[in-house]
Amino acid sequence: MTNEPLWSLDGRVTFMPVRHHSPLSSLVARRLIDRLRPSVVLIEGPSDYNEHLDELSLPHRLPIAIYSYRRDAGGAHRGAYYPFCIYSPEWQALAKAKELSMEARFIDIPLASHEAADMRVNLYSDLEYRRSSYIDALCRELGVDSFDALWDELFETHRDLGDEEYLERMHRFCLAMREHDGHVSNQDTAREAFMAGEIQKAMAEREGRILVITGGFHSAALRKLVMEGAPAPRGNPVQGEPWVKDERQGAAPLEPEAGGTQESGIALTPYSYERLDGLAGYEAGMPNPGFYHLLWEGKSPGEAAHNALRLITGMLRKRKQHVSAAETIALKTTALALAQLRGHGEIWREDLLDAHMAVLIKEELSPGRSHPMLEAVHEVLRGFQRGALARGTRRPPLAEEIDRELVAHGIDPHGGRQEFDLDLSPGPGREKSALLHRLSILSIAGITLLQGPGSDSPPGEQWRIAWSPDSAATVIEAARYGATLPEACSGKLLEDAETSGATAAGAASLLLQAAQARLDTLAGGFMERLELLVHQDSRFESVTGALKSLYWLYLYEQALETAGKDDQKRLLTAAFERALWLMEAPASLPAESKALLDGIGTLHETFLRCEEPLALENRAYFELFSRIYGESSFRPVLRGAALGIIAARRGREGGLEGDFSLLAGPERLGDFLTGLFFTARETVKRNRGLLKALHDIIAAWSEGEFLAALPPMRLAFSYFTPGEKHHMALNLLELLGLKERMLTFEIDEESHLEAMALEGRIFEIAREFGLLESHHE
Amino acid sequence: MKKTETQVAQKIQRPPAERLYGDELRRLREMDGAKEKPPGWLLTPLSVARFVLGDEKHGISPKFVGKRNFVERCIVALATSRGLLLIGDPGTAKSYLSELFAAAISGSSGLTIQGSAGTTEDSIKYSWNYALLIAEGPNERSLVPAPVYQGMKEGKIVRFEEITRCPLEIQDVLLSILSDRVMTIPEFTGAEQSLYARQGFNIIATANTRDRGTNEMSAALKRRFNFETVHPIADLSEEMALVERESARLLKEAAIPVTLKPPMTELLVTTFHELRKGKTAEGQALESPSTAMSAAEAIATAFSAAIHAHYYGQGEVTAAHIAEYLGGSVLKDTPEDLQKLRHYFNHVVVKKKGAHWKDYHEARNLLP
Repeated sequence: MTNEPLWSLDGRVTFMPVRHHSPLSSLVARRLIDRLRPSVVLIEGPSDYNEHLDELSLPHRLPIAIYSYRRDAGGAHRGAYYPFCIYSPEWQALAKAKELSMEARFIDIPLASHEAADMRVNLYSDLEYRRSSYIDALCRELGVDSFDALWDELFETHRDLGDEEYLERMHRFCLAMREHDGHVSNQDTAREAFMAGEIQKAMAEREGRILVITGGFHSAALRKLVMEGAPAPRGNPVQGEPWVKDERQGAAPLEPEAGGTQESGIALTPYSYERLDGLAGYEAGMPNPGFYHLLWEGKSPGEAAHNALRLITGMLRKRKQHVSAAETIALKTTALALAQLRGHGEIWREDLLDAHMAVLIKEELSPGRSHPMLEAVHEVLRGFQRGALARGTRRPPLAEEIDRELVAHGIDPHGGRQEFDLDLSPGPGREKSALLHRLSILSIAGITLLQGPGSDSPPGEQWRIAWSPDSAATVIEAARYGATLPEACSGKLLEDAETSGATAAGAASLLLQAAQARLDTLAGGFMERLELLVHQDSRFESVTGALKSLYWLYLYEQALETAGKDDQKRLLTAAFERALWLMEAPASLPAESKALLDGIGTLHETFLRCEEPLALENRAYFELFSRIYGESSFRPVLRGAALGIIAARRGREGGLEGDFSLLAGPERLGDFLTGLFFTARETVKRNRGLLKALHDIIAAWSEGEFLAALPPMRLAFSYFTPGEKHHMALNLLELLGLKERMLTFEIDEESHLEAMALEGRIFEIAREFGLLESHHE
Repeated sequence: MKKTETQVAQKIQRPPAERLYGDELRRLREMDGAKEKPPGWLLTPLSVARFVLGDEKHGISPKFVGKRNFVERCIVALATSRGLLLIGDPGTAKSYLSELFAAAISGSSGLTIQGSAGTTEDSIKYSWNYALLIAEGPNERSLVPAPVYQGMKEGKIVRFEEITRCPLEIQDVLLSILSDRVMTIPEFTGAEQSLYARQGFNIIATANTRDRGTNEMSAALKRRFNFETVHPIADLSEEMALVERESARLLKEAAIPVTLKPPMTELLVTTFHELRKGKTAEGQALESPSTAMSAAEAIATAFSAAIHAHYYGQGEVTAAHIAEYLGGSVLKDTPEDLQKLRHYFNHVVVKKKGAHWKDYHEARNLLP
């Protein structure tokens, strides 16, 4: 048997390599099962799910995934998905086996007994292919840009490939890749050893042929292990270890015998094409699942392309984008011509994408930015399918967890409408608040935060809970974000960051939400994304808005239990530096003085409070403000604020008066002072030299100049209280040597009242003669 | 030694693509043999793509750095008789690309109209030799053909450079030509009056959106063109290689024995790349200047800095030379660009690591 080629159909065990989520692999898998009539079909999938296999044949709406999770003794949580859509080879193999009443079984290692540190989350992703240098070389050779295009070119477009041809081509392809790269992760080594053991066990247990369906990457290695008769891996957890099935109908968390240090489980959970779409990022599967879905449903690629075209045009018209009949014709011709140029028999995925790009776009495309027309195309090619579990399925782990958590925190969701206050100081109130924040991040219906913490201490919150059938539905729906509460919340926040949190301020508020929900297991991608947004946002207002949230987080880190989180501090530093950076880019500053000054205020407060703990660069900070102050092209209000910050540092008698006499034209002085007073109120108040200098400048103005300068000057002085203004006036009088000449009256109460009455009469007479218009002039 | 065509071509200041790459085109034509081609084309679409993107195996040099999908879309537009409009920032090799396409498809890139505010219908369609017109009346001899007339008559690709520089009504001359593929010559009589385009005729236009003084394009004309955006080179190392290669070529042609050392290329290309993208390598967003900061401009800056170093300096390009000439290439439009450049030095250059970056930062006062 070892002499036979890998792709032989004659041996007792046939190894069928697939690409997960490939319609072609699905077709071949179905045919092979029919043709070989094996006694058992072994499939790459979690073997600890075998006892629930019947659950898969319930009438689910695909895509769904098997989710396997475990919590280690240390509390660390890990989980892994095996996602299925209608054209998944694993799914179709299971379906075909069921049709023919054959036995099918999963053979992959259970997550619970798997110790590899480089654990992946989606076990049906194409990671091995994407990081292969062999694939890169092959792409160059065949003139395609990516692995996905290469796969289409070599396999998917050859719909008429026979079983033997498929097996030979796929085995050769995967073998070459694996040998060329030579790297196999620890996780894969462990999985392959386990799968080989399962195959050997099946060979020993039964007569007849065996079909092994796994990712192409593993096929050759599995055969080698099986042929060499390698011993089954140590500590096979399926037999021998004390996994006890939970008795109650539910997500069956399996408890080990003694100690209870580990918790794990496996269950179905809804999935979506959005998560499946390779375009969505790392660890997804094939791109454009919507196209392959149409392909699987249609009779031919031509029909799929035709349907996709129809859907896209419909979608665009629905969005009021005009697509004329002439353009539809041009789309089809262009797609056909591209297909021909690329040697495709019929219009294919990339031909469709490129045709829309060529025909519909009538302007320059900026790199990295999407176009509404193309977005519609991508959405149709992504597909809209969202999975739903059939009735009678065990509930997804997330729903079970939410129930457990609510009960654990003394909240009976079915206890009718209830309102309560929570105390946020350390204790049960704070934990309860975190749970409720998590549920509101997931938009679970019926949970409302009525009032957040105010200035009252200790800080508190007010919540309302009104559970409804909607709530139960939203809980199950939320399962598609993840199988545990922290994971699902992180997933949801990440999605929000994609859609609505396009600004730094928005993203930072998401971080705040995360902190309120005590999400300390935030996905790494979340912080990275926030950091990226902070770095890329070009609006001063938004960056200082973000700075404000981050600063708030920093101030209340004790209450939020985020103390000592380095990445949040790093982010605060990044936002601080970014705001400084934007200050010198005039186009990024808000036009309104108030917004600008608020931003500067946040910046300066952060600097004063965090300079030492965060090791902010003192020198660069003041150099920046010196530059701004010294550069005449900046707005007076900004220069004033800059001077204020410099002066506050210099201390009380910093010789401020000499600083601005040069730029104190009447049209600018008011704005300039507004900035200055905002940042250096205390310093200015006590600075007599400045008062004198101001007096000298203003005294030199003509009447007209003074009147023109008055409104902004009044705004500037509104930063001082009446009492402060009084003291400033006294100081000035003293400086001018007028204080001695001021008369001090000793007035008794009676005279005061008399004077007021007299004044009232005078105003009345003046008004009578039309000298005053209203009461308060 | 037998002179190859390439060597002869080098005596001309800038030989057209069909002469410069004559050998390659001939080879591709032989390889295509009797394979089916779009009517009027000299090469199959596959060979055109090969010519532009290069093919190591067949000794075809790469001429354009860009995505294959993009090149394929352009070729298909031309093959399906839709006009092709290449759009993008200045200096992204739009004209060069259109020259390559014309050379590969029609064997000549010379049928070119240079769009400008002064372009008239005469310079697009045809005009008259008035002496002959008076002597003989309107006929084939007295008619002076312009590029579109010639392209239609011979079935060749016509290039229309900077089409949006032409006034709207002049651009619209192309409307009936692109949709009906016929040009009416009212001065002639009978069948002569209509010139029907031969197979192979098509138009590649280029336009850039950033320059001032460009005009809008009518919706009717937009519909007749496929728009393809030519992006600047996305990869920093590819751009560095290009700048190094091209500036060395220019310096060699000018007989100047100076080369740009890699750290200097890094300074120059990184500055151009980051300012153009509006983003630093570390991920910070920047304000891009209003000028294009193209690779072509970077090459020109490198060239100027090297000439300066050769004639007035120690014969080696330093960070100071680069900083000095940078101002000239960035400051073309508004004085705000200077502020953006200074901002770049104050906030980005200062944080980069390495002695050359330090020198570069020191040289910031050499900016205008």
